[in-house]
Amino acid sequence: MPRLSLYRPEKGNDYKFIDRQVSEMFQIGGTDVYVHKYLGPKNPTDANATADQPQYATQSETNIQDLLLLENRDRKYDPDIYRCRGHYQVQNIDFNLSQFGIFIDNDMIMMVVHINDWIKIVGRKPLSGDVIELPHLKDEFALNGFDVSLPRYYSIDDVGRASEGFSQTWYPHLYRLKLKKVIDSQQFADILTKPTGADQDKFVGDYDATKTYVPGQIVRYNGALYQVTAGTTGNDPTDANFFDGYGGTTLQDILSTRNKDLQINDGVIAQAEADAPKSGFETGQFYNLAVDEYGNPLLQTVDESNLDASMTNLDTSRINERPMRDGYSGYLLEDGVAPNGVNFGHGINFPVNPFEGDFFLRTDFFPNRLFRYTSTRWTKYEDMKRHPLTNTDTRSTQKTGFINNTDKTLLGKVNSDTFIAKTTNTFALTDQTSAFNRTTGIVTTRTAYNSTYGVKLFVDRNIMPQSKIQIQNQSGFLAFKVLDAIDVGQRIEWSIYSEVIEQRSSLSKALKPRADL
Amino acid sequence: MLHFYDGQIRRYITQVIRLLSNFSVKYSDGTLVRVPVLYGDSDRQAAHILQDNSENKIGAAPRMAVYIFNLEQDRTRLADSSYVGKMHIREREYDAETDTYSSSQGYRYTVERLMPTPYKISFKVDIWSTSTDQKLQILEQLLVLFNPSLEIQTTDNYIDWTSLSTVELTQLTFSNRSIPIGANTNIDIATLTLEAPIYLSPPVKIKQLGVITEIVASVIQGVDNTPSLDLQSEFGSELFPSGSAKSSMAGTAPAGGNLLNVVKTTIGGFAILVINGQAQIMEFNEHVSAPNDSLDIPQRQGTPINWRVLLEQHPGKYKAGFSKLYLKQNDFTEVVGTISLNALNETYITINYDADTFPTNTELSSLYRPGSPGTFDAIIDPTRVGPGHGIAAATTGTRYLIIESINTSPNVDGSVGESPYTWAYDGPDAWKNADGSDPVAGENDIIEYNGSAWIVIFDASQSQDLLIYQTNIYTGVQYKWNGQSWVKSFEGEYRAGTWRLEL
Repeated sequence: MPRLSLYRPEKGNDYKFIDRQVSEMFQIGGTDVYVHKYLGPKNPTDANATADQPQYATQSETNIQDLLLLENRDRKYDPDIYRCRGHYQVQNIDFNLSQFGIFIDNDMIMMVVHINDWIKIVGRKPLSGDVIELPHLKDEFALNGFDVSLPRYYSIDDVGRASEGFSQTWYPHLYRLKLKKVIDSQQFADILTKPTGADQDKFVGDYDATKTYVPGQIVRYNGALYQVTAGTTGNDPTDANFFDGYGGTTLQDILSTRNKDLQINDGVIAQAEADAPKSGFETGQFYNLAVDEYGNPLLQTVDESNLDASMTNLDTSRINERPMRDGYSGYLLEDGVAPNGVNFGHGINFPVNPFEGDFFLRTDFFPNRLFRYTSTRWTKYEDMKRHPLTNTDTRSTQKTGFINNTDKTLLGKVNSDTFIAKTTNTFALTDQTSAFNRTTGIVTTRTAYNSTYGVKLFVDRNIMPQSKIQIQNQSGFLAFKVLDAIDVGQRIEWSIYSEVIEQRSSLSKALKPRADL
Repeated sequence: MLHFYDGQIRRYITQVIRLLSNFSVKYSDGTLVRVPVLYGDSDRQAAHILQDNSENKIGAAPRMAVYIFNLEQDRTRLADSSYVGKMHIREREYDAETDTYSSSQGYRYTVERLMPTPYKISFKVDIWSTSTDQKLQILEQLLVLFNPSLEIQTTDNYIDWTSLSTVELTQLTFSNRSIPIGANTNIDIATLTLEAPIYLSPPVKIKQLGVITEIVASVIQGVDNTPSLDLQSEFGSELFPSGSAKSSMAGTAPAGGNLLNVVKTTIGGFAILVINGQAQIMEFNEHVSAPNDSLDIPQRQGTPINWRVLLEQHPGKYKAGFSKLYLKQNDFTEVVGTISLNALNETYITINYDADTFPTNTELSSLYRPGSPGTFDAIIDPTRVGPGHGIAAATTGTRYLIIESINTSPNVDGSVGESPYTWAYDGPDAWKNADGSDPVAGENDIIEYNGSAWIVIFDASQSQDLLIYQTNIYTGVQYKWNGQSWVKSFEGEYRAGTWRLEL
């Protein structure tokens, strides 16, 4: 007769009996736990994958996204939600308003779940990074304008066997999960960017080109949600024929402080812009008095007999002569605006028949330069040196000129041609341009189309920004559309280049070897 | 003490938050996520409202929190605390109804600014991130900006000489985790310490433009403490009592020396010519065709000068009918009139005199000119013209100021020649009374026609002690009899310093 022992080398019937009892206890006394199962880090694309941030053959919880920093930042969660049972000791929550301006509460839960039930339902052991929703903690009375209650989310920090979950057989029946409140962060974006309310059932996860979608379904593509409007397979969600941008609220909208944070930030920026819209100082509201060598005001009126109207164009509506320079000195006053609020033109060519004292802003100068017409020539008045102080894509200082740079460098000239624009141009076969339509702005060349080619264009010797040129394939020939209007008589000078390089490049990647040496 | 608060430190917080705003982190799918920047010391209620008053609300990261860490006086930058910096500003004309500026000159100001107090302000910037990669992305974008410092501005007001400052990165704490291994919290905080030298300024004073429009400089021979007897006799001992304290009243000699010369000038050094209720500007070295003590109407010789040349550089803003012209007289009184630019010719202004400020005409009573007994119709040379001969035929009440005598011969009403060859005196036909008799009048007399004869209404030869004023209706010019001769009363040429504008 074997010796009496509750421990057995194998999990026998005693274990199973107790395990069923424990499971039943959870069924009776536990609370529902919705589990968002972590599936593994999102795989980078071929282009983005690096040796220390590799692309894995399969998506798996065992993959590590960043082998250097040992982080899984972009986490993929199962769109299906698993329902388990758990138990924890409810505790009071204290809010500690930190000096960092955010509540850091002591909301940490030690929850126990039944091991076998969890494994049976979720398919694997709980993992740090799994997200748990406790439906019994929904807040229906939150102070917001949404008609859905606020769910309560926790992420699993640590998992271990619960000491109270060991039975007389010495086998464990419970996992102890250390739960912390979720933060709206990169790690949980996959969960938080889902739709809420009734729409959450229409969400079918990230867009997959191999799947067939039916109208009403909601997919996620490049971080944004799209709703299917017409059944489709393989069409990109940006295709308006099949998809529409999702206009409903996401979990992030209702649950995260992020939108309010951004609104507050925008409010502060708006105030900062109201206080100091541009660098330097505003003197546009001040009057600049044109004076002679004795300090007396200079006038330009019909009552002044020392003006010779036969020598220069005069505007008889003027009284005061326009100043030769600003009367206010200081740091960064030049704004490229004519003094005293007088009207002035702008463009890339000076106007014909100017009046004495006319101002004109040349926008082809960087920074833009304001000229004044004096006697027989345009003289520099000032450069537009004041610029916005808020960090935006268009801010143009010397430093942001390197950061906010979308220019392209074109190399390897393939072909070029010059012609004078008419309403429509047709050219001989010997010409490198085959046609030009001023209405559409399309120039068709006789160069074979190549998607990697780039076009440099001068209109009346002024270079056209690359953002104003769209390259097209016209029956196998390269054509390009000019997005700015071209006038009859303007000189068009184009060149096609085989290499198009983004001018902005990381210092570490600029002109690195393209292949093994 | 009056309450004063301009939110100066508040604006620095605003600008530092702006400085750190609009940076982003990039997720692996290419999504760019902006990093919000907020003030890091919110009150409890605001924090609860941000949380939708719900414990279910979750905070978001990455984010940045900015708060003041330290504020202390920077004694190394202290300067003369009593220094007042002045600046002169000309504003463009502002239309409050349309809320726009025009291209004309508006009001003119002088702004006085008291020396501000220097401080050093330090900020902590807590950068919340949920991964090291996020933190590196944010830091790399921020740290390239400090090379070594960044400029910030609290305003773009030209007046504000304290608005410009620089922000320097003085410290970087990479992590708030004491042992950065096996992170036990979701959020890690990197902290930047920024320091900026700032100034806090008291209010400024805004005044009307304080440029000098007039200089009166008296040159005194300053050895004698008593004014000259001449000055005492001329201006009175009340003004210049013997041994009195020094006075520097403009236009007078201060006690303590003999007045050698008085140099007066106005803006631009211009003189003006005032005639017939209109004024023209003259160059500083220009003179008119006839001096002030002449009866002749003076004419300008030089190039016309637009009044705006002068109006534009004066403080204040010209307003037709309200701006005033002051004409200084020798007796230290001033003739004052409001001015209006002549719309057709801006080299003239029209003066509407304040009748209380210039002498009224002296009535020369007669039965025949009841309407305007202080005027005459013209100044004439009776040797060249006469009623019906170059001037209108005489009517009752007609008055002339004559610059030559009529019939001053002792033989008037007698005979001429020597007996037996005598005949009755017969004066010029142009000057006959109705009965054919000859009127008698001396030069500078004012004569009046009573319907039948010319009578002397003002006898200059008998009026050496009189001071009378009369206006020539023909020219509109008022004249003064000073006992010796007729001179223009106050119109004529005014040199720089003897007139002024008040816009």
